Amino acid sequence: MKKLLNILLGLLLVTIISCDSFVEVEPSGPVDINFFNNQKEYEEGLIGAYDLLQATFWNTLTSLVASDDYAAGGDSFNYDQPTLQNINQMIHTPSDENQLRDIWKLMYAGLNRACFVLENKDKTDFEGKDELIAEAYFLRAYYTFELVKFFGNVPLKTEDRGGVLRIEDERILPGEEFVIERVADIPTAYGLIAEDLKEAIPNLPATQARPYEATKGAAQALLGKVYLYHGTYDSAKFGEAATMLNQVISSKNYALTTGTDYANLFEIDGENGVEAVFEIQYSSVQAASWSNINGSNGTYFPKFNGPRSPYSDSVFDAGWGFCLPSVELYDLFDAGDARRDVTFYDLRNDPDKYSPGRDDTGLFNRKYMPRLLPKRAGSDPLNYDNNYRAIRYADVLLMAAEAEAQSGGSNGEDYLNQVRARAYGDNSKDYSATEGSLLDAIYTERRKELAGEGHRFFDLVRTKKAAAAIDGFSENKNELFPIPLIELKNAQAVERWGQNPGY
Amino acid sequence: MNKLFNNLIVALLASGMALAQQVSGTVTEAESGAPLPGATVLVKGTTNGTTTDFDGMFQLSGVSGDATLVVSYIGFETQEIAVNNATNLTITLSSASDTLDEVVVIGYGTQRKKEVTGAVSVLGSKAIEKLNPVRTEQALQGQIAGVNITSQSGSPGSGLNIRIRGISTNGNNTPLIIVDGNLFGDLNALNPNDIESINVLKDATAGIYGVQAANGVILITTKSGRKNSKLDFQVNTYTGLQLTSKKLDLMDSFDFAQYVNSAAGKTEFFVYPQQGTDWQDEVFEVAPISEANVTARGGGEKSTYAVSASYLDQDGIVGGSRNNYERITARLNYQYDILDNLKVTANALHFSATKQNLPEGGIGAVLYNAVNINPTMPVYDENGDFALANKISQIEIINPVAQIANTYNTTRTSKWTGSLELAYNFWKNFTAKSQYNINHATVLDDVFRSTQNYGNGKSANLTGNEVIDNGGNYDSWNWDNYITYSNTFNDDHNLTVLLGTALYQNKGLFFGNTGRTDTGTNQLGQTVWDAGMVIEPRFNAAQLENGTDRYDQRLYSTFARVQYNYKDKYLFSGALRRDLTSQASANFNNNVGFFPSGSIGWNVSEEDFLQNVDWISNLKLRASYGVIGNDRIPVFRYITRLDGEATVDPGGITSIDDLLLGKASGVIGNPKIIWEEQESTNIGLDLNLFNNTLIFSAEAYQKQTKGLLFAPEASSITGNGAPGSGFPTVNAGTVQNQGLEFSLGYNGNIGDDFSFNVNYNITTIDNEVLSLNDRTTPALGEYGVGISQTGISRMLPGFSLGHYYGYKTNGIYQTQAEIDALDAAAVAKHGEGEKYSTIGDIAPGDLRFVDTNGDGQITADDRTSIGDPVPDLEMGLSVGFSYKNIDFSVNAFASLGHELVRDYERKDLYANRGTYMLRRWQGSGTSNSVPRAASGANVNTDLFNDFHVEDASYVRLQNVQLGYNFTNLLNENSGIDNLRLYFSGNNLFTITDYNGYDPSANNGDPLGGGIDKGFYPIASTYLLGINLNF
Repeated sequence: MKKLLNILLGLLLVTIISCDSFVEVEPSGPVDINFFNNQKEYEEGLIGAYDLLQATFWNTLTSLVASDDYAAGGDSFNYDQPTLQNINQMIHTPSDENQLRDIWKLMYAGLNRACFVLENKDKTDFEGKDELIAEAYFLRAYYTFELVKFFGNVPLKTEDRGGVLRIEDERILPGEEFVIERVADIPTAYGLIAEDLKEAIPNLPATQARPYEATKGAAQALLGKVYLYHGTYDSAKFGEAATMLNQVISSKNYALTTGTDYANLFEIDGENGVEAVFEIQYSSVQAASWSNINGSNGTYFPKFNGPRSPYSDSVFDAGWGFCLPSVELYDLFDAGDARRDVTFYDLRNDPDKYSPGRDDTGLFNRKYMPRLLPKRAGSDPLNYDNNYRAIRYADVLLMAAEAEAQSGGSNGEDYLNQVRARAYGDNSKDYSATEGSLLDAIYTERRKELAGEGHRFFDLVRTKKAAAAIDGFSENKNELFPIPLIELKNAQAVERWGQNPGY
Repeated sequence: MNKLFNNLIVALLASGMALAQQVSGTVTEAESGAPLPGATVLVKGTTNGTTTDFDGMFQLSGVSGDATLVVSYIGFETQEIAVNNATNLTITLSSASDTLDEVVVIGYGTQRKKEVTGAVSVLGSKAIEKLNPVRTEQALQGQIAGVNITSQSGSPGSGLNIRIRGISTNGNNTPLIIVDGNLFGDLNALNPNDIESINVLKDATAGIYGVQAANGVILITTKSGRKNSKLDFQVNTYTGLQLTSKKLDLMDSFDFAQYVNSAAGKTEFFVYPQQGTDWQDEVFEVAPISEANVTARGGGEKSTYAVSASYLDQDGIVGGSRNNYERITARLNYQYDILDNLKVTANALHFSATKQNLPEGGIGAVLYNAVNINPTMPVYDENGDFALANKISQIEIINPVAQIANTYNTTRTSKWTGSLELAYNFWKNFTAKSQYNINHATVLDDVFRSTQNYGNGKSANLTGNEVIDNGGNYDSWNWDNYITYSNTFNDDHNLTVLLGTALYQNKGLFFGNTGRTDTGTNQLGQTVWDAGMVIEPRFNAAQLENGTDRYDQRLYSTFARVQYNYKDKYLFSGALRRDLTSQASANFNNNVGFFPSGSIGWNVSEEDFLQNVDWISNLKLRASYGVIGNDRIPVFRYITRLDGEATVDPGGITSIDDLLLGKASGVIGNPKIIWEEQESTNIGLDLNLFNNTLIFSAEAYQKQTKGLLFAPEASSITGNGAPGSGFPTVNAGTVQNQGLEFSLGYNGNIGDDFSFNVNYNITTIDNEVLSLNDRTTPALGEYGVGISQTGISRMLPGFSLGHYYGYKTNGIYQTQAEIDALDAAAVAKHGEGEKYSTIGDIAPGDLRFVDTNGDGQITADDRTSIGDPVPDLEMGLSVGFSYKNIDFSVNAFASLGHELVRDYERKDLYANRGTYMLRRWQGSGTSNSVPRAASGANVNTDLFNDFHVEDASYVRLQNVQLGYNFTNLLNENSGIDNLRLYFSGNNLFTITDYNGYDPSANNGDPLGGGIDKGFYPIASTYLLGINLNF
């Protein structure tokens, strides 16, 4: 009997050993540790890094309602989108998650995806790799700049490379959140971003065949912008900003649109035109779903900007009634200013056409309102086509004007006048000293020219005018947004990173 | 071959038993004296046995003179007869009442109830038939202590959740389902009429199933034929009507208009309408249901067969035929004795179902719309078209009648199962079994959407046509091989040893296309492939490469079990299972685990000191302990795949084919994950009194699930916030379920004509999260819409899993002075500018939130646990009696101490409300429970609080059945063996304080499952049925 059992056990043992490999199932696609083996895989990795640009509409939405010129709006039957409402009133706290946490999560996701390409930059060689790597550096700079604008000196993996402090070309891996530190201060963070852009610029082409890709001009404009922000802390940077932005202008690759082209600048026809220095592409060819909002190739920022239903129109779609422009902003524009009717959709004389929501002003953010055309795939309100004009040539001119004015340059007035001339169709409104200082005139022009595009709040902060302009703004606090408390806790960094000042 | 085996056996027997002889005999039924064909006759402690023939006769050779024969037959008490050198025996079997000899299925084998040492409950076919369930799960509700059934929806063909002894994981809590020894997926595919018995393993007895066992195991045995029995037909059919078990108390148009004027603070209605629309009446209807079921069974000398087919046709109580469900099942069971000691069993099963779906159970569902839509709006406008819901500004709320008319959404399911089992007895004490089972299912979803306008800006509007054809193929197989050794030593030592292996693979492949056209003809029947359709595939090229469209899970197991008892008095069982899973990484040997379990029992009534106590039929004490596992997480969580969303619009494109596809990290992998381990302890007592007429059993259980597999909140600086990515899965945390179960049954007769039975069971569940290893779970579940009150259902140490997290309330502010005083105190304590409520302005008539942390202010930190969806106590009661030809049975079920979140009320000035709002606060002293009417933002509705959490305890009369048996009125030559007519009512009434449709509803998610966005209620059903045997 014993013998028999032994034989049986022996047989069973043989089966055990022979069958163990049965459960080893290989994943069908690639895994992170075995990728970047050829040019195609690099291109695919870079597309992954570009993808997160589409998620920046949260940033635009949030900074709009943070500014003095736009109210949160929304449904009057409840405290619609509480974080946006709190930000609108400047009573947001570290407990506010929603949009603030989305920005934190998605910008870090973009940063990591760029790093994923960069950490493999030496793995496989092929023709054109330098440009591809340069685009990855551009993207990392873009995402990092968004993080620094919102949250200040955020935690980053840094290293000394050839005597220069750089962001490490490596993803932040699970577990590293418990050890990495915030960068020393905000100027240091701007320095890190500038280094990435400086590395990117030489290898980027002046033009790209496909509009989504970063050009040399885009990187230079972004670097100029970073220097301008850096200038708040170190006025020497204004000169560098002027130099960089002047290179964009002197490249003559860009121009201001005029006439009908300007009127259509924010329509589908106006996308990727001569004024586009960098534009984030959205398309509605693919249906979107609520369960994967950030995976959509469309944007639902426009849906926020539409008048609340019931609302019916032949051009615009109904929306949720957020981002409502103030009447005060409207009144800044002269009747002869072509920008007024591009910036505002005015239903003040047509109150029955829509359902007024919270903070109703009768005015809407026309630049990014939802258009009925082109027809969208699917029926969800999530995928509108409206490209986000991230860096417009008008913005470049005004930034250059400001940098020139700040650094003692002489072109500031000319740049300002170019923007005004486009708005009025002639030079009748050129700057004159009677208006006050040139710098103030430039600031006011930015407010008008870029209204509804999400720049105003950060312009007020960096020029230290926010406290005066925004109701409820606390100095030495609201310049930055709080890092969502949950994110500090998740990294066990409530003490280590600390919350932003004042929160 | 045949000869060889026989010779081998004869040789073995000859060598083992010198004094063997041939024994023959007859087995008869005690009650009628009729011969009993198909009974099993076995020489005790051996596998030497046979079955009786058509005349109840048997012959057995190689029986020693001092052997004992064990004679058993399903539904009868097993008899043991000493041979005592006799060569011809007459054995009578009496039909079983509850019987200690009843056979219990325990996984890879059976035990007599007397030998059972774990918490195993059995439900037989008779009890199932009484309940007339459409789905098998319905038969379990209230019948077995510790098994809780909640409904995901009352719509025809919807699923039910089975939870055994609480919820032990934040992941998948569905028990393992085994049908005839083979892994089975959705119970939907099994017709309850085909079931012979359901056995539920609730404790470590399930340990023989190792890593799959932590949620309990349900073992189902299907009906088979009897040997040597004539062809027997059984026809069961019923037809009936269903109607909603509840309508909500909503305001009529008159009250509503008054309410709106009050909430708006201005006059919206200058005339209060006397007539309006009762939208619930418009969408609910009386819906027919009918089922027919035919089974044919029989058997010859060496074979048995059972063939059955059924057809069910059921309309929905919402939408009627637009919510129809049609089901066909067919089944074949065939057994054949190739040799005396080699038996083959084949099973084939087919299931096909077609369901017409309507949106249900969420925002945009038909019932959600019916509850919320303005009662002053007509169904049709003056032109006879569907009226547009323009007054209500919420874009999801549309005319529900129009919605029903325009919804074309069909799910077709088809499933085939085949299994083959070989059982071979050898060397007297050994049985080898090999069973192979294969399943294939195809599920096809077809949606057609035509151009529709439900009102300005409504999210369901569509211009053009859309056709969605999606589907999935599911394939699984298992191959189990095991050897059982069974012997009795010195008459007293009974030993059974099991050794086996099992292989299992489960694969799925999904596919589909969406077609859209602007020039739609609005013709139902359009396909994705029609001219002019723009096609969007469900999976793009990158997703296909990454395997997003498929999964493949495998398991390889080896197991052993030893069962020993001494004189049926002292019982022991021990099992060990080794599992290898594809769910974890092989690199660290994380994919292999060992699961030990053991149990002991003491049949006290077998002891000498109780032998003379007549009134105690049985007394047994038992205990079990084991470690069992759960590995049910999505595939490949141990590695970072590049299946994240990575798609870019290159600019200026017009076709989906122009999008650029890239690669990016998906969910971040964690190479260290292993399965959850559950330590399960059970102590039980069985007591049968007065000749087994009174049966009592008690269980105390504790289950601790350790190393919970979940994806806790993790820092997003690692990039896990990208679309298609997610938090890594880790093993962390412990959840405990403990409680008591009691069941009591009585079977009695008064005279010859009257018999009755009562069964009652009660279960307590205490569920608590003990630890999360300092991790934070993602809080899930959304309350309301657009107000971002996500994460109201949480998992926190010290609370029950999935408790609701919000503000406690304590009445209503009656006066401004009351609020002013609180504000003044807040200023005194916290400084100038501070207010009592920091979370929103408060006014008289608002709910008074409780300052739970006592800091003198209402802040977000005052939120706390305000209920949970897991019942504390469950009870089941069934009573049946029969008098002469009449039989009657009643089943009731109660669930106490669980809460649901009332979240089917939309915040909108023109959204209808429950009549409870008529009792609202309208000035000081008018109400201290229902807050004021408000149209704008207010703390009452914007901040999740216990006003919206309701006790959903209920008692439900599940089933009443009255039957009349005509059999003895029929002519003996009619050929009819049994004819019974019955009337049955299901879910006739429910006693509950809950305002929503169905207090038994739950979507099945451990976190957020009890948030009621308008659950489709289960129907009250009235059936007339016939049972016919011939």
